[in-house]
Amino acid sequence: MTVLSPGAIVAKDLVKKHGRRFQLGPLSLHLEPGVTCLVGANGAGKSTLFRVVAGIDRPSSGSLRLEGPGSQLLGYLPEELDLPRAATCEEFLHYVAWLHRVPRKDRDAAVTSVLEQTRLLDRRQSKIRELSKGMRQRLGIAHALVHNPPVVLLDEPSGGLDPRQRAVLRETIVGNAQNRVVLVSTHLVEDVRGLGGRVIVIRNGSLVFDGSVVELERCDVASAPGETPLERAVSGLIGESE
Amino acid sequence: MSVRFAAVTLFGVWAAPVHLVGFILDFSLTGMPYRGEGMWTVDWLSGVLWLVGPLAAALSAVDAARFTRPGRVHLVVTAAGHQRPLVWAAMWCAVPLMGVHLVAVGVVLVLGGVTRPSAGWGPMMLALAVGLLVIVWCVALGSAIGRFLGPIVAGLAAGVVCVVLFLVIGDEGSGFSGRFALLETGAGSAPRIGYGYNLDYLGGQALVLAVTAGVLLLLGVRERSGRVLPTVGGALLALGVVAVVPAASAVLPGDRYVVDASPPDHCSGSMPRICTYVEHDRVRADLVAKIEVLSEAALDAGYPALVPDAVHERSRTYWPDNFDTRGFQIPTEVLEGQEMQWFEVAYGLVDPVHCDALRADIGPPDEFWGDLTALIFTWLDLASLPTGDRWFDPDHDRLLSPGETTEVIDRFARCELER
Repeated sequence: MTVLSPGAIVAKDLVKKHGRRFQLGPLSLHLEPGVTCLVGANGAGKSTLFRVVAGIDRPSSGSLRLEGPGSQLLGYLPEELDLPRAATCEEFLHYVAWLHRVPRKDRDAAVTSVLEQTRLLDRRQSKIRELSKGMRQRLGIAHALVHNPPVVLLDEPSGGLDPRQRAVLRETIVGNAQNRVVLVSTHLVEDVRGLGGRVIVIRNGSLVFDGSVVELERCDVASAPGETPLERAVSGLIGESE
Repeated sequence: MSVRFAAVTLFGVWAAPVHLVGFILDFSLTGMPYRGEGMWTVDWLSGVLWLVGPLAAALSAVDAARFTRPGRVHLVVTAAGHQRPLVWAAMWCAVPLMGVHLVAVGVVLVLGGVTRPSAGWGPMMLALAVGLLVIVWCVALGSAIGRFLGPIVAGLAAGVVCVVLFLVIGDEGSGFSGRFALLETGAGSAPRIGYGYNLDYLGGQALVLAVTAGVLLLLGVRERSGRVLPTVGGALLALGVVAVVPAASAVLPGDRYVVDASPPDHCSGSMPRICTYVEHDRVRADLVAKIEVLSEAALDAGYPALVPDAVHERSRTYWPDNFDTRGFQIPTEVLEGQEMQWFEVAYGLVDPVHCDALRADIGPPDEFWGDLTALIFTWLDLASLPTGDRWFDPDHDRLLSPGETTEVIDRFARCELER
């Protein structure tokens, strides 16, 4: 796989309104290569931000720019990925590579590389229906990476996985964040700590924290629910679910 | 998109085997009366599109709906050229269907020995292309509908809409209704000899089908608040399609066919000289042999008035204009493979088709039918031939003497159908 030039997500005064009920932002962010965790309660605006960054929704105002080489800048794993269960891992990834206009001559190498990165090389010919949930999530990450994008969005990638599967998934994510912006939406404190890097917390559409895990731990609120300083800091910042 | 991936993930591919089974049933159940007639082959085999079109629309809709369902739609809306997977999915339905259709028509043309179609190869290929475009149009319609609905609802809606459209902008008159119909392919159970294709009609139809199918296929989608919607430009173009279809009916010619009243040109013999259309060469030998048997028997028995100078096969627009040349129509049953009945041959040789009274709203008088059957029974009796399932009834039917025969033939020649 070719070495990436660094990517970036640059948002300036970004606002996305949903009628009169909800507004995300204004947010100004500059995300650089490495893993960034996006944390927030249900309804805080994580998915809205993801959809705007993914280009699915347009911002109501402000600007958003994805930077990086090539024209296919973005890899996106939605929260619920609907995989074609009768296809093999290889067939599905070939299809996604075709969709993202990876040249025919490079597709085999791209698929092999991404299967290797997500520890699915020995499952290359397996039908998707035969994979465990953890493997399917890793295949989902593979599908977001197969065209080698400089910006990757992973929406709740560890949802529904057992602890061992989550650990393997986190290693996969961290291992693929070199020279690449990887924005991971999660509400699992365990993921925040395991993925390390930068953490962004949003509450009711507004940015309430932007810093490292260590800095986040310093926001520990003794009265907030949780057993560890990080848990209490996160629960204190995100507040009640909407 | 690989063949295997398409086969395991798309439903539209499976319309092609159904299309093939439809053709096999047609070939095995109908006797293939259209063999040898290029135009009729193209038009008849397009009849199956009334079944296959809605099926293809339904399957194409299901495939499109599965591309735009939650968990997959991101691949469509975030990829560059987001209609590309939808267009490819549609093509995986349309192209195999078109392949089956082309092969089936090609096989029947070869089996029928079509070497010199009266309509000309160019117009025939244009009519065939229209059939193929109807397939693409149905698939494009299904794909466009499927993008905005769930798979099951999309499949049902597209199938029903396509059936309704075949009823509304298909043709209930097999190409002879006198109005332009976008989905008309001329499917019909009658020979096409006597007509040629109206190139203005077919050309306009092909153009409208191609443009509107293209617009439907390229209909852009966007996702807003979890709902898949058309892009503004796509919605406007789709409205354009809705407007173009009725507008085309107002602008384009209403007749799919033009009259081609050419006489048959495959001729042989001298007493009588027998001419048939080259498309019917496969049944010609039996017809010629039977006419010669009847002619020899009539001459040997002293009934020369029965034997004409020439016998011409009739088409739907050509028939002889005098009784010296008799007009003979080859029955469809014979084209389906049944043996030609002696009664039918004799009937064809004495029927005064040159008389306009036979094509008038009010049929000829009973005396005419009595004289006609008397001529037929007399001729079959002279040759000691069977009358088939039309029994001679002495109370109603009669045999004629040579003089009476001459008198009836002379009256028929003058189109005096009453005594």
